Amino acid sequence: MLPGDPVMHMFAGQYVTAENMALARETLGLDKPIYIRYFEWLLRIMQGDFGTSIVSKRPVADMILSVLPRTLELAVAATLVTVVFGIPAGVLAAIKKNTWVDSALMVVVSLCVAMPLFWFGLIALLFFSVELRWFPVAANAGWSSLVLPAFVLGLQSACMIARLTRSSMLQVLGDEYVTTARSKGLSPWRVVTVHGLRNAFIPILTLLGVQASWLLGGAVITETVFARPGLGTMAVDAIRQMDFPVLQAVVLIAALTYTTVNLVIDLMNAALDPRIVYDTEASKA
Amino acid sequence: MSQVGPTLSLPVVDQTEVHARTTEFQIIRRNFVKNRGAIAGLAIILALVFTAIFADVLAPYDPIEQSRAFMEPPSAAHLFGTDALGRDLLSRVIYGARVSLAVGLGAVLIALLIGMFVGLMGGYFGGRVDAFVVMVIDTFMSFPGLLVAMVIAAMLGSSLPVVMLAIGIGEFTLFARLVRSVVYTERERDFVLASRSLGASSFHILITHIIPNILPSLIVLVTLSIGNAILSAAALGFLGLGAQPPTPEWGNLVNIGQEYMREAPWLVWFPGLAIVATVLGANMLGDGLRDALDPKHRR
Repeated sequence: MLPGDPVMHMFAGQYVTAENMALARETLGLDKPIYIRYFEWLLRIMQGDFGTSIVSKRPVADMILSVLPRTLELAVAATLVTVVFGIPAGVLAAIKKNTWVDSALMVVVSLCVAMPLFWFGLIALLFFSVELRWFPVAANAGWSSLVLPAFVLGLQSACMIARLTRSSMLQVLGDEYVTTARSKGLSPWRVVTVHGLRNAFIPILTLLGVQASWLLGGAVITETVFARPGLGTMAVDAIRQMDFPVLQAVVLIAALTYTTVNLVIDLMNAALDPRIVYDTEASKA
Repeated sequence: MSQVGPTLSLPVVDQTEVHARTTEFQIIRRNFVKNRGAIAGLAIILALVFTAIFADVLAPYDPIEQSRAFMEPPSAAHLFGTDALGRDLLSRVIYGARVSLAVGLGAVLIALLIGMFVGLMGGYFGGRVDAFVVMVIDTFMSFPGLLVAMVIAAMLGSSLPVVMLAIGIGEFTLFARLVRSVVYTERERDFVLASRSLGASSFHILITHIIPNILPSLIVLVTLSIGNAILSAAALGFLGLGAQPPTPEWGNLVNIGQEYMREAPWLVWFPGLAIVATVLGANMLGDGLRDALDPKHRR
């Protein structure tokens, strides 16, 4: 028997007859072949039925809806941290290329990308909540309990964004139209933001989209470290108890989020750069 | 250039080729050696590999032997302190290097094999095969790698090969995408067309003409992925889905340590620092290799 058999998990440590196990499999629908179960699952999802949890016996949709806002606020806050810190840091490093500002920023970036998220979270918790008492240790203390997790989750992707922003900006700032803009006597601020950043923005947006998927993986870790209820902790619990209807729903939501976010970003890229066209008729011509 | 003399006996074409290759290699080596970060990264990784191989000689204590020195702070006898069961943390971190490095390398190897196969198929054969390959890559990319790895590890039970496989499957898309895009452009190059017009088989063209051309990019991606794989392995260990105690692994060391974090913060600090050092070393080495191998990145 595989370690991942949910029926074995349900009856772990109890005396059960083979008939009872077979009965449990039948009620859960596990006696049918996998492809039939998959299509039955798809059919029910189309009707908005995510099934019921094997462990809590509650409808999965209710369970998801009850924690979804917590994970959403974490993801949105973390993305905010990423954008607010990552992009300016990258731009600054690019403008101050090969100075101590650039080197210092890049050292910070290298260190922060090499840190395991769970470790960074624990150290932050130890330092800011336990030692300095700036933030509550408890996860349900309103907005103040969101600050630390959002920073932990957001800073690491901010570092990746900063690195990409730097290289993207360096490439753009060397282009001829930037030299032209400079020689026209435009203010350095205008050159950097309008002529530089706007053109360097497409790879940055694309990476932000890829990180939408990373963010959900990161939410699993961050929520576990900070003991926050959310989709991440729900996924970890579901995996430990082999509660596969819950797990399927979380994985589906993760994939749907990724696809939606990336669709939006593709459209934003097209809006930013008129050269990008998503029209099949036009590309065939 | 003293070897010009002895090589004069070789046929003319071969001589220029040999000559060009040595210079190319020399440029790469010079660029690499000049890069202080790359050398530091290489040193860190070599030191860690050495530590992992000679763990039984280097570790001052048995990593799973318990003693009465419960949760002692770092001291001369126990440089990294001891844990709640009186085990020497330094010895546990040293043995942990074995597991973490093995999982990191194994996972990247699996990701490389799957990714190369998938990418070569799509890039070389194009058409429907490629459409299918792109669909597979897109599907896998839309799931968070960590979630995929967690599910696989939970379903198949957490043994080391499973953890490698779980992380490898979570990361193969990077390799598949790289290989696919490079092969896509390489297969239209003149030397490939020439080889095909001489009647070379697809397999022959892949092995002799295409793979050598994607090798530099692959070496860089492999090095840069090792850090990621070690981070994922540690995350699985932290969630209790990686290497199982009493086997010391950096992720599960932090997981065990977090319970006593307030009284014994060193239990969290040191295993974490070991991960940071390793990943930093792998990343610096990867960046250095990229700068040395890729003409676009040369300064």
